[in-house]
Amino acid sequence: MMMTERDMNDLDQLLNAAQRTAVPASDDLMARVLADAAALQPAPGTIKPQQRASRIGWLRDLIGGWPAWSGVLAAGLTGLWVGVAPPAGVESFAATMIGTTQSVTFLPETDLMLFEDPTDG
Amino acid sequence: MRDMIDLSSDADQIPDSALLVAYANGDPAAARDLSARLLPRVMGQAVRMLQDRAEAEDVAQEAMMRLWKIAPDWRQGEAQVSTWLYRVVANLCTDRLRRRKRGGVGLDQIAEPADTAPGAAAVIQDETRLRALSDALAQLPDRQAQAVALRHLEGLSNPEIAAIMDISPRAVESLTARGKRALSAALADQREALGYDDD
Repeated sequence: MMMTERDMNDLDQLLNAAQRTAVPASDDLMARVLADAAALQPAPGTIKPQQRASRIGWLRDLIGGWPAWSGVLAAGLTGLWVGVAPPAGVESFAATMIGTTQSVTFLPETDLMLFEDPTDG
Repeated sequence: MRDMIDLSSDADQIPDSALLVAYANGDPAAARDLSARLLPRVMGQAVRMLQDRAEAEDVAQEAMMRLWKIAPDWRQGEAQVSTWLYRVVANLCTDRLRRRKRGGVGLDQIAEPADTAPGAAAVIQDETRLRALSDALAQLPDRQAQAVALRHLEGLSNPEIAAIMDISPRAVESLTARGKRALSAALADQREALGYDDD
């Protein structure tokens, strides 16, 4: 059926009338709702702490959240760097304190020779 | 929660979510305060959409029951209780409307009241038209029916409806426009039965 402006006006009037519909909640309904509330209400002190949002949340919270973890990561990377390529000051300091130092190379020069181009020089 | 806030002094100032947490913590008065505040709104929304008091009462009770059940898991600050309730009631009402549509209860199947007092005819006609509006809502897809009801029966703004339905305000606009056209077309078929041609 064709919809006309008159149909739309009738609908607007009807929607306005419906918007004014107000039916108060009866005492009986209120009593039923309160009975449900009483039946479903947890006893005081029985609510467990809310579940954490993520699975690794406990780990993150263990030392104080992400800012603390970024500090741990930075310290770890710095330690690794000092171990792999110790600055001159660290080596001389270690020599002074311990008395002797030992250098270890993970790639002996003989192995490096294998990668050299035989035609070069 | 209640021992931290003096609810007796001015309960209206307490947010719904704080009362809900108080309820979950075992406060016996929180349910009464929340029900006094929320039940009339819930009942009104259900009646306006269903135009049937008994059905609306069932929906209101079910919506409040769901609120009590979710209370222990409610996260303050994540959602407003009123927004959550609008969504629950709208969903429950569209469920009812769908069932009504399947049941096929038309205008001619609704019993005529016996009241013949002066003015009663006009009242009956108004009620018949409102019921026809509700039945026409049942013909719409659920999302359209919900958007139209929230906009035109509850008088909410597009951003409010967007938050309730978890869609964009533009999508709300589109749903309400299409829904209203479909509603008007559904009612146009019943002009005569609803007495519009006599006006």
